Amino acid sequence: MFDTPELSAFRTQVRQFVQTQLPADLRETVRHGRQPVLAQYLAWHDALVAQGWLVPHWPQAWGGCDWTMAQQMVFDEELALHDAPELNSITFNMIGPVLMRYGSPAQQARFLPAIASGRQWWCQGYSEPNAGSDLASLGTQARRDGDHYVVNGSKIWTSFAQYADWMFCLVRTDREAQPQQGISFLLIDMKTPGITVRPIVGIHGWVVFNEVFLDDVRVPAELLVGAENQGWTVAKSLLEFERLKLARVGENKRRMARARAAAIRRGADGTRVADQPWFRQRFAQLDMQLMALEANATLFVERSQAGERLGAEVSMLKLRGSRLIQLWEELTLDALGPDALVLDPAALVDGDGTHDWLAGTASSRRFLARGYTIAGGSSEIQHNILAKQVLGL
Amino acid sequence: MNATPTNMTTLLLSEEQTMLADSARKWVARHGAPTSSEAGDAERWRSMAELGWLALPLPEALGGLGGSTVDLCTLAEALGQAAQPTPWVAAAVLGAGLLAQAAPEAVAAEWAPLLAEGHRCVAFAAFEPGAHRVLSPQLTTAQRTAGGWQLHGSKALVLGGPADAWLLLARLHDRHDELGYFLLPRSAPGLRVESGRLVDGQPVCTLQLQGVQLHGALRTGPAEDLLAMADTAQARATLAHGAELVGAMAQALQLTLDYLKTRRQFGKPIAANQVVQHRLVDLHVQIEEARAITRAAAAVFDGATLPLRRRWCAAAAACVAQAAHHQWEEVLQLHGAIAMTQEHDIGRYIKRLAVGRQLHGDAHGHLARLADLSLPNTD
Repeated sequence: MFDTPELSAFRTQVRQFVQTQLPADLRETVRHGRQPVLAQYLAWHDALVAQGWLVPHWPQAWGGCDWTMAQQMVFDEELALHDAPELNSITFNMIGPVLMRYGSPAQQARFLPAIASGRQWWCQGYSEPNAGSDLASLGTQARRDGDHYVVNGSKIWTSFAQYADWMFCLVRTDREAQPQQGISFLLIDMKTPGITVRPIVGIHGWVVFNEVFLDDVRVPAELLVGAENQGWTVAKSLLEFERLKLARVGENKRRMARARAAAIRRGADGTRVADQPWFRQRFAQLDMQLMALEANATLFVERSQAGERLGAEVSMLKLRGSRLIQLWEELTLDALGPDALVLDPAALVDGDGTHDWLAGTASSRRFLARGYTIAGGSSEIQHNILAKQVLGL
Repeated sequence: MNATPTNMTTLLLSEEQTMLADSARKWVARHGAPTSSEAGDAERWRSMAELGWLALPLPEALGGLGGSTVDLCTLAEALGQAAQPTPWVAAAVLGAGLLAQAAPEAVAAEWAPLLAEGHRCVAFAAFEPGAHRVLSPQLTTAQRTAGGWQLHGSKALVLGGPADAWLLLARLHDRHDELGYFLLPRSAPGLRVESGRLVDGQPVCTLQLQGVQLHGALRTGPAEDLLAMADTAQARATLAHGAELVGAMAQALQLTLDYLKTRRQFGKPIAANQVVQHRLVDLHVQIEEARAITRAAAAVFDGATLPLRRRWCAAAAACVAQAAHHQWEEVLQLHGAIAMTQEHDIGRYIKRLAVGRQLHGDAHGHLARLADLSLPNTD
């Protein structure tokens, strides 16, 4: 929208790339709203690696392109609009940059090239049955035993743990300390004996979440990131970059396109939902909210690029962007009507074939979208953050 | 891969714009206190002229400063913090801006310095009674006479304060597909001016034209062209007015925060309650988005294609109108009974926002236009 000529040329380049290089089967999977399997993700990673674009926001020293945030936003948007799946941000946006900032040289040399190759999948072991957004009440224990930590406990809501080769994990290393002290940040090989992954089938039919049980899991002490008991600092260092992306402008535009597609179809009687006053009013309302979100996100990106250090105020992008996705999904459901209520086996885990690319999995997508306002700090937490740190309440 | 953009800054304020906003904020602190005297209004207008703010919307070719739409919105937002109605948007941005475009060069050159220095004030009488968002004149007609033109009709809800002359559109009696721009001096025989105020205190008037005699028209031509000119000027003014509302909202929220942090109930400040905090956060976020979309629309306004400009203007106007509505309701409720009193400062903001949300079209109208742009009818 606010592309400079350079950015506009770049957008065209990205668009041509995704149109020609996104594997056709993955495009269909995403377009139909089905869950991609690991092999599909990996094939897409390969295509991105071949172009040099899997981790373009990383520094060149680690295989990235040093892209600006504006370029990264354009990249994300074009991918979303052309039916590419959301890349695993835990792997590419979280652990990668965390290791660049807090990892030892040995950890960096071991993991960063592997991540940049697209062949290593990470999951995030933060939440626990009794610690969701409130990580300070973390219960998983790590006891030092020689040059190892011995980890016991369980994690829950661990996204894509079923695909993961590695997990970065918050563990309690000091039981006596204040709740937010005494936490350490460990890297755990998912093949280590004592780890059990139990997938959780969501109400949407996808397996996004898992429970991960850790039973006397021995982790070499060299896989501690940062200092012992300083894991909280590492964990909350969610980089500014990641928080800017949480506006999810591209993901919102993808959903806007779906809502439009659902509404401009002609029904059996020849009418279109797009001509109904109620639909036009609501579509315009969300369209306007998306433009406001995009404008606001652009301002933050430009401030950041101008060298300003952004604070907690960036939380507002996540707050608004995540809610807006849900509103688009609901509008699409209303445009489709009861057709979207028929259970399509394709919406289920390992499901195949859909009767309709829009209606078949619309209900599934609607429920998936509810995760956006819960994961990564719920909307209520974002309100608390903004109240305290921005309004000084 | 060598597409690294240079100079990405498109929505950030420039150094000059930041300075403009700063000086406007200082000006508001000095001149923004409410007065209802005509002398006070005149003094403020002179002061704005001295600062160059009346020249800002005028093109450089006429000796103006040729301000961009972002410049205008930057100043408007800062002025809006006072919630002190000045006719700056209606007169300096819309009235003078449109006159500079619609008038023949010689007339524009004669008026421009008078407008820029604040010696004269021109407002656009855009709408007619009962048709407050329709630029196309229905009632107002102009008939050619031996000595020039004779005008009949009326214009309502004319903003811009005590103008010296009004710019208006009239239908041409002898040509159905043409319109004319006319400039009516206050002293024109046959012109009756009924002055009043809106509920937020800003001056407004109704013009009755009963055989007004004029020597000439500023411009006559195809209705489509003349309406497009008015539409562009009106759209620019709507954006500037939106920015003014954003300034008023931001200040209203600041007053609300200050009050709720100090006012204690049940042994703690009202702002210590989480239910209140979350509502304050929603107000803050809404203002940030309204500011951002207004900035974006202003940036788009001077460069983009017409469809894109219309799209952003409609969205920004709808966003600001909804925000203004939500904000005044919330700051009133969060203040409690004190906000119901005439003497408390917050009341000015409440009334300014309640008026502002409808003054340049309400959200429904702007959203309907946005829908027409993004969901075209195929039939």
